[in-house]
This record gives sequence, C-alpha cells and structure tokens, in this order.
Amino acid sequence: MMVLPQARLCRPEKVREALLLLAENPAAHRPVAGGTDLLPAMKLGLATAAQLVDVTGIPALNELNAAGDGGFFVGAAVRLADLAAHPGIALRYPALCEAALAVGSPQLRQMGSVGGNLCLTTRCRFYNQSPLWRESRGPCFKTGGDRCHAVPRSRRCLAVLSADTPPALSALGAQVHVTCLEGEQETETLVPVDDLYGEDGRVSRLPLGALVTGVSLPAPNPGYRTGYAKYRLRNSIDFPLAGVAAGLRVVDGAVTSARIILGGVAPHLIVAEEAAASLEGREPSAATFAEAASIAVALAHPVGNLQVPAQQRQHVLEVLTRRLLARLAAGDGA
Amino acid sequence: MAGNACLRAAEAVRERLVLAVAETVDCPPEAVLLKEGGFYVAGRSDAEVTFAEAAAKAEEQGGPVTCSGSYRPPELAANYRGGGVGPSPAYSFGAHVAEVEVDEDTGEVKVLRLVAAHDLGKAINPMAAEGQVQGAATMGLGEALLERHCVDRYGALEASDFLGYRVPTSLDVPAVEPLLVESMDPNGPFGAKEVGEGSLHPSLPAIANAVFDAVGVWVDELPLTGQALRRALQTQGDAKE
Repeated sequence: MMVLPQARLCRPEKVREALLLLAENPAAHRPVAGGTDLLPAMKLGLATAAQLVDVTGIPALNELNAAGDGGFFVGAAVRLADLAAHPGIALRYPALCEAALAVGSPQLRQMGSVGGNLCLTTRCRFYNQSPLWRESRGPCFKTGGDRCHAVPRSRRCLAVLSADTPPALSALGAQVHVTCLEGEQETETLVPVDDLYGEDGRVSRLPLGALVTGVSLPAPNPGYRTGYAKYRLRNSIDFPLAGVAAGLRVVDGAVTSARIILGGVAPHLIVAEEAAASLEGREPSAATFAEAASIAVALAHPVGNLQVPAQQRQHVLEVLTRRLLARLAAGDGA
Repeated sequence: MAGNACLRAAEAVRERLVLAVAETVDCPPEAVLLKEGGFYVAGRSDAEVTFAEAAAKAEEQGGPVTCSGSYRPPELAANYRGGGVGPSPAYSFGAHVAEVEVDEDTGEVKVLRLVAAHDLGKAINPMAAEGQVQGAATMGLGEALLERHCVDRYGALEASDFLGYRVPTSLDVPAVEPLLVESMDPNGPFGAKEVGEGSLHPSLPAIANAVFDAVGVWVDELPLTGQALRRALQTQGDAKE
C-alpha cells in the first residue's frame, strides 16, 4: 500500500520537451516537481502515472525575479522555502510570503514547489485514505463513484482546496502561466488564480497535458497591505482547515481598496467581493472589520469532510478574517 | 518489575565472568573484585583482567555469555479496582504544572510551559530519565489536545494515518522541564521505581486545570478541542451569569 508504484522518470531541460513528453499520453504522463502531493497520492492508489515528467531541471521554471513592469515572476518549480526566503517577495508581497511559510512543514517547503501548491489535489477525509479504508464505503465522486460520502445529497465532489498560496496569490492579483501544445505550436495563456479551480472538487480546470510554468505578480500598489491567516490544529505541519488572504489600503483614515479571499472551505477559492466592497470608503474599526468578516464568511459553506466540524471551521475563519483585517489596518503587512 | 529481572540477569552474567577470571588468575571466586572496565584481585598486581578478556574466557568455557533473570511481584495487598492491571512492588508518582494560553474566540489552547515532576525512586541514568519524563509529558500533551481516536460505523478509523492522527511534533511542544524526585524504593533495583509512561498521566489534568484557571470553564472530554471549549464557554459562561 505505501510502496510507490513504478513509473518512468524523465528530466527535460526545456518547456517544449516537457510538453512533448506529456503529450505522448496526457492521461498517464504527469508533471512533478517536489512530489510532496503526487507521490503520497500514488502510494495510496489515488493517482497513477506511467511517466513522471520532472520539471525542476527546466531553467525557465526556476526563475524568481523582478519583471519589467515592476512586478515579479515566480517560476513553477521554485521551492516554497526559497520563495518565502526571497527578500523581494517578503517585502513586496507579504501575503505570499506568509502563505508559503504556512504550507506543511520545513521539510515539505524544501521540496514542494509553487506550481505544485497551485495544482494541489483537493482533499477530503473520505478520499485521502488507504485503498482498504476506502473499500469499506465504496467509491465516491472523486474515486469514480456516484456519491459524496461527506454530504450524501450532494451532486458533486466537495473535496477541499487545501493549498495555502492560491488565496494569497489571488489577493495579490496574480496570473498563472499555463502552457499547452496546440499541434506543434506552444501556446501560453494567462489565467487569473481565481479561475484555476472549478466548483467540482473532482476535476481540475487545467487541460490535460498542460503545464503550469509560473506565476506573474503585478507591481504592488503603494499602501496596499496584504496578509494570510490559516487555521490548523498543529502549526508545525497540517493542511488548512480554513484560510484567508486579504489586502487592504487605507488612505487618510478611510479604506480605499480591499480584497478578501477564502480558502480551505470549498473546492475552489471564494472571492468575497461584497465583503470587500463593504469596507470601501469606511473608517477602519473593529466593528467594520467584524461586519466585513461576517459578510465574507457567509459565502463559505464548509461541510464535514475534514476532521474538524464544519461549524468550528466557519467560526474560526470569521475570527481570522476579522483579525487579519485589523492587523493589516494597524500597519503590518506593508 | 522488569528492572529487578534485569538486575538478576546481570548478576548471573557477573557470576559467570567472575568464575572465568578466577580460573584465569588462579584464585578463589570470592577474591575477584570488580572495577571500571575489568576485574582485579586485592594485593595482586599481576591479576588484572579486562572485561573483554573475561568475556572471551567465559565464552570459551560455556558459550555466549547470555543469562536470564526473573522476578515475581508480591501478591496484591488488597483486591481493588484496577489492582490487577500491573501488580508491582512500587508505584511512581507525578505532579505536573502547565501554563496555557487560551484563545476564547477560537477555543484554541496553546501550552506555553510544562513542568513535570516525577518520583522515580532512584535515577540510575539521570539524563535518560529526564528524556523519558519529557517524552511521556509530550505524549500527555498530545492526548490532552490533539489525538482523537474514533471508529466510524463502517469500522474504519477516522484518523488512519499520522497526518490525521495528530501527534504533536517537536515544534508543537514547549520546553518540558523535567524534575526528577528520588525516593529510594526498598524493593526496586538500586532503589529505582519506573520512568516509563508514568509521567504521561499528570499532563492531562494539569492542562485541563490550567484551561479552567484561565477561562473558568471545565471541559470534561479529551482531546480538549476548540469546538468543545467554545461550547463550554457558551453554556457554562451563560450559567454563571
């Protein structure tokens, strides 16, 4: 059960080579960087791959540098530890730095990559189990069945987007570089982070054979402060039970722009537009933030598919949102 | 109990080595004395034998130097509930003090400090004994706050791996300050009692008591989860008003 199934490993040095290797058999050839998500899933029989295309040897995917427009480009193979340790990221994009540091444990951040975190498979306590365990209930939507074990009435998979960096990247307005082969032609599209995840936790919106090559961060808005807060039982290692990223700009005692993104409570990101709009033009105060947090969290409908009850996750998410906004208003996360 | 059995096995090994030394240096076994790393005979500078030499000789005489020892604990003084679990000539005692920080909004509890006193009889190896106390107190902390063992109606464990069954990692544990309390037990080997998991038990009530001291409500279930604590704050907090 915990033995890694055999798979061929190839290490292309160019994006094009990687795409060609994936295109040979898009369903069975999978890109891999640190392997911290894919390899355990393969051991549990949750993922299969005849060929692993290791993208860490592609120089373009290891780039981490300032872009011409004042923004930043982060290659998909950049390790989360290196991302968090980069002074330019910590200074200009604190939410991303905080989110990268909140992923897993030090060992996982040393192996895990930005692209891997963006493409993390959704998680559920009925899914991330051994084959023997899953056999007791039979297959669910995510394992080829026709039901959801967490919510039997549900018509789709509700497994949770458990990555920490996507909410932060969304708060920062990041765009994901997705590269595909169209015939012989290599095409790159820029996808806003919010659009990367669908309603259904079963499938990814990324087309088969596509490769996430990096993330572009726009130049930071002066005075726009960002941060990320995460709920988990062990601050040393666990996946999020809920997470929130926010951005806040206060000018002359009034909020001029705000963004609140919830993660870890649905198969996709939740962009709390109304909650953010409720802050605009108002004076930052405990009451305004409590109100915004309550509007934001009303959009989240976590279900009992992680080990902590949904109601507790929802409640803590509201507390974290309120506190994060207050922290940003107080001047942290500049 | 195991300590007394070990002691007897060690005494039997010593007996075999002493006999080997006595034959090597040609003296009665009673004259062979032990020192660090070997054996000697009082008044005879030519009769020093290292441990390795003695072991080689003993092996020559009777094969590998392997001895066993056994120990039978005394009868129970009385028949009481729990008495049959582990009859022992002596029991250890412990007292822990926990300092916690409670987040009343989220119900999260963080242990800031854990001082663990353990009456172990005699500390034969104090450093190892301190490590045992720290390890046991850490197990207690995990039981108190994190580790949840639930079997669902399909007979499957809810937490079937160590990502779901949350054992505290080194980063989740505060500095556990061990205090070894020696009491020289008359029945234990060299006066020792135990330093196994005895130091686990006091952590649980110490942490629950510290939470009560901090926020004034009792949680009577383990692990002491955020949702349980919030529920207690709501219900017991209302009752007080």
